Amino acid sequence: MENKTNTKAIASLVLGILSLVFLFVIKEFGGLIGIVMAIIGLVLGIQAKKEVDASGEEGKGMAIAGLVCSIIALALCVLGVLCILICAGSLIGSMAVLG
Amino acid sequence: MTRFLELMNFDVAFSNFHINSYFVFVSTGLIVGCLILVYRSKELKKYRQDLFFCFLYAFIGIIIGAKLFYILTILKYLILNPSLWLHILEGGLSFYGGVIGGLIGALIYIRQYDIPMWSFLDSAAVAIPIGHAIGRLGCLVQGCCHGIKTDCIFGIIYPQSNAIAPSSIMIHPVQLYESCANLIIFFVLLFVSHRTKTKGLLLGLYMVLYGIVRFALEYLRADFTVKIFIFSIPQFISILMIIFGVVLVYGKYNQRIETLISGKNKDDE
Repeated sequence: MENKTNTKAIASLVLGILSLVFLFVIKEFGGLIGIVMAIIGLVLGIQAKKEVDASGEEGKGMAIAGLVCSIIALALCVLGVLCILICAGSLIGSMAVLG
Repeated sequence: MTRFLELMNFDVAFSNFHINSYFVFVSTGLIVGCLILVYRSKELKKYRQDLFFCFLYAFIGIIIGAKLFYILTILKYLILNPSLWLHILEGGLSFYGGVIGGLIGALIYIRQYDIPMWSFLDSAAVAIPIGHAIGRLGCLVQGCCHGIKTDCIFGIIYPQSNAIAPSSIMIHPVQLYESCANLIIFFVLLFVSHRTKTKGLLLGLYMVLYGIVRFALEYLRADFTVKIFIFSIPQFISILMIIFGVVLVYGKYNQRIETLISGKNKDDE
């Protein structure tokens, strides 16, 4: 009987790729949607990898690819978009102080 | 120093996101911290994949926690000026929020996949200060989390081009103080880790040491933040951290003595 491909691995890969697309293509709120997708893709990828290792299902490659895409997207979203204007007490702080 | 800060502060834009000096330092800190977490402990050698996955869970927790905590510290200003909510993604991150969020993320993974908790937390306690020390250099270069005005010999003057820190006046390089303190904490914990097998001790020690450092440095920082009584939120958390750390060190030390007397290992029960 042919082994079934792990569905979480497929979902992780799809979300990982979509999060990268959102990050690079969509300007308005693309970063925020990308972060959410990357987080879900990452959690699903980790679960898929653990399940595939334990049960011998197919989809190890997909799970790893999904993980990698999600990690890259998350790192770029967080460090490239979220940190754009740096850490605590930056722009919003200055704006609030200046009224 | 001013020239050095000017040279180090770069910003390269690709499409709709930027790579700046803060990005580089924070990523380097995260990568170094992750590598130390995964490869340092011989005891956790068979859990390397789990450690990496656990780091990823913690990373998700760090992002959410750091952002939520930052929002909490500036909530007063956000309520007064609702238009600032539109820029909320562009704002800052809070270290303490990151630690709490990261801890919750890691604990979720540890609980889900049954990893030896104290060994993992001890490993994380050694990895956090070195990552934090590198990340804080990003703050120094970028000019955020800056200190108050000073005349002392350690004072630095930021270049005119810096948009965040006040230029033309001498201020305390608090970020550099914190970076050095973290480096010292890292070496202290590394030294202790080679001399004790008591689980939980390194975490307790880190909480006490960093709590003291952060509490003291808050007096030199120029950030405005919401206050609880006479303390800022980070100072309040520092106090809680020190109390929890002392209780943990004391408890684990006593447990170790009892274990030695009874001859049983109760650490992983």
